[in-house]
Amino acid sequence: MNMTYKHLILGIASLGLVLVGGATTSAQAASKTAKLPSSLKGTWYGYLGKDDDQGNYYMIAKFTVADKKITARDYISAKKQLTPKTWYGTVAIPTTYTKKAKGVYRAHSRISVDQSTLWTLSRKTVTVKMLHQKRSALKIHIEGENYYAFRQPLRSHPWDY
Amino acid sequence: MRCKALLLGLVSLGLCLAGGQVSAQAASQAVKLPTSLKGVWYGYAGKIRVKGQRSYQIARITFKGDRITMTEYVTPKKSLKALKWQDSYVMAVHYVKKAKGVYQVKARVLNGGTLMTISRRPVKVKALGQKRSALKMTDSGSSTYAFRRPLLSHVWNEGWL
Repeated sequence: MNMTYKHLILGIASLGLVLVGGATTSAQAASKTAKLPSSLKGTWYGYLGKDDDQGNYYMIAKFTVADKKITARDYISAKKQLTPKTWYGTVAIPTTYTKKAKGVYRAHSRISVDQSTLWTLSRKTVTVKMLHQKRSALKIHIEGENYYAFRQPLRSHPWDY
Repeated sequence: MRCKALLLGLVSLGLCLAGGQVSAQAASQAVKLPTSLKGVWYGYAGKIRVKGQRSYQIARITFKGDRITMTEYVTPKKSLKALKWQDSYVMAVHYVKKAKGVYQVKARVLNGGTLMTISRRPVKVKALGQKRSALKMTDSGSSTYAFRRPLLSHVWNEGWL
């Protein structure tokens, strides 16, 4: 696997996100703006995968989900326990959310007039093999794919790089 | 050394990761950036038309001791005031002196490849009718410029965004 900086922005770039610049948000979208429930907000860790090419590195993305902004901090760790980890980059973008259904929220770019959905957030219970138990994860749906993140760094459900 | 173009702002920094262990040698070559290069610089990233309204994109790059931050803004104002935040990228870096006044910006993690080479250079700013000392950033043979304050000059071409 080629370790490139594509992995740097894993939280955002890996989701194939291309931002369209714009100076205004549409009034229509603004009126439907929703506040995220605390069950979706806060800190989440996504396990991006392992790089076998040059030594063994585990890649982790730490997301901070807030109503108006999402921050993705990328780390690598040489250890299976995913600690200690070394930070190598961060991406932050302004967002706005609308409610799609109970417990399901759509993220839109806060500065683009293109109101298409960037990604959708919800919770889902998944089985974490290494813990032999189920865990409630943040489910990020984007362009037909689902990605999962947990409240602690877990080497589970890799985002597949 | 293989490079993959990124979708987002960091493409402009021509990122390349060599991969591999953090080399002690590389780390020992790391130096402090002189104040003439350190700190905040603004690049004019071009015009975009949003719903008939012309907007200007400004990239603000901050060179700090151990990281660089690139923040993108848009504004419909030619004065480049009222900048609206678009996104931010932060990367862990260190600097290696290449020649007098010339420094390489390298990814600090995994013996990263050179993101760009920076130096100072006076350039003619038409809008001001005078020469200004700019930050020259070079990557893969192409160069672009940034100034100590936002200026509608020396627009960045595609490769830098």
